[in-house]
Amino acid sequence: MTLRSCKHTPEIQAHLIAGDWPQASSAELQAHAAACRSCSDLILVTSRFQAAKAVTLPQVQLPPPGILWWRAQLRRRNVVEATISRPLLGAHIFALAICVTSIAALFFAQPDHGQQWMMWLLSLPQYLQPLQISRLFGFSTVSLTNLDLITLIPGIALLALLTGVILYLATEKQQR
Amino acid sequence: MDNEAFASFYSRSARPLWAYLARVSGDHALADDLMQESFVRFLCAANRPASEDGEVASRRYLFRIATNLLRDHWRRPLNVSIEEVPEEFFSAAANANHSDSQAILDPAMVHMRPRERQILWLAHAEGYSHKEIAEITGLASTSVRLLLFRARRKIAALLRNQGQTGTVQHAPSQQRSQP
Repeated sequence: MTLRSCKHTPEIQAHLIAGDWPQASSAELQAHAAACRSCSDLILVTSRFQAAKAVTLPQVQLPPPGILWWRAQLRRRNVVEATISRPLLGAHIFALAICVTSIAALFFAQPDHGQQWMMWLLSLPQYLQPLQISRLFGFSTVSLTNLDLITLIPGIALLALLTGVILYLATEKQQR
Repeated sequence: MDNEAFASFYSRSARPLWAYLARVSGDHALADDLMQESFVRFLCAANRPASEDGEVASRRYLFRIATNLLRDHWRRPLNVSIEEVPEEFFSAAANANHSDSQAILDPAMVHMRPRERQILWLAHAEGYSHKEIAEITGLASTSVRLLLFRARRKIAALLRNQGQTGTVQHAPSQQRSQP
């Protein structure tokens, strides 16, 4: 089958699209269309498809647009939540790993202090009794010079927080 | 696009989109599902045409989503290319739900390939140009021209045959060629 286009096809097509075939066309064009296979195919097929479309359009029971709108909003929100929670989870894991590594490194780097902290940690339960809360930060049984533990814990927490934030921002940039 | 703008766009585009899906797939229930999914995906799409591009561009984008959904649907159960989906796959559904409105076109449409149905509907029912059909279907514009020419000739022969006999029979020259 070879592709041979007729020079009258665009004109006939324009009439068909405008819906004024054959009324608005000349008698010569109509005579040509009757004789030309390509043009008669075009007229037959277009008129059948237009008729099929006309009877099909009223058949559908359309759902209210509001339902689709809210479905789309819900889906978009879920996508955004998934996008945000993915790097946050990674940041949490990374921050936890940093915390654990920092604590372990400190314990190993300063064995003298490490033993004292360990003793303090082991004796924590007795300080947590209601009447002895005030002794918790008194460090009367554990001799902590320079308040190392008080600076250490917020320091690690700050480090973990900053790590999480930096990691989150870096992931956001990558996604953009 | 806000809620009101969408409602307006929906009221003008939903019926033509449903007609396209229903006629190409031959399955009204599937057309219902895919039409809703098309609109939801259209609203969720980050790269959909802006309002300044006009409704024509938005509508074309919507038809493109629907065409992709149809292709995905056909590929899923059979795990084959759209070109390899047999015409008979659609015949049962079309015959089971036969009505006067479907008698206009469906007896001939069941003998067409899915890709041919898409191109024919987009060209002759929606009035899209070759370039626009190429955008919607993802084919090259020159391929669309050739495919449309062949599909039009094939369905015209089937329609003439249908007019003469009342039923559609394959003419020897119009047998489906293997891909």
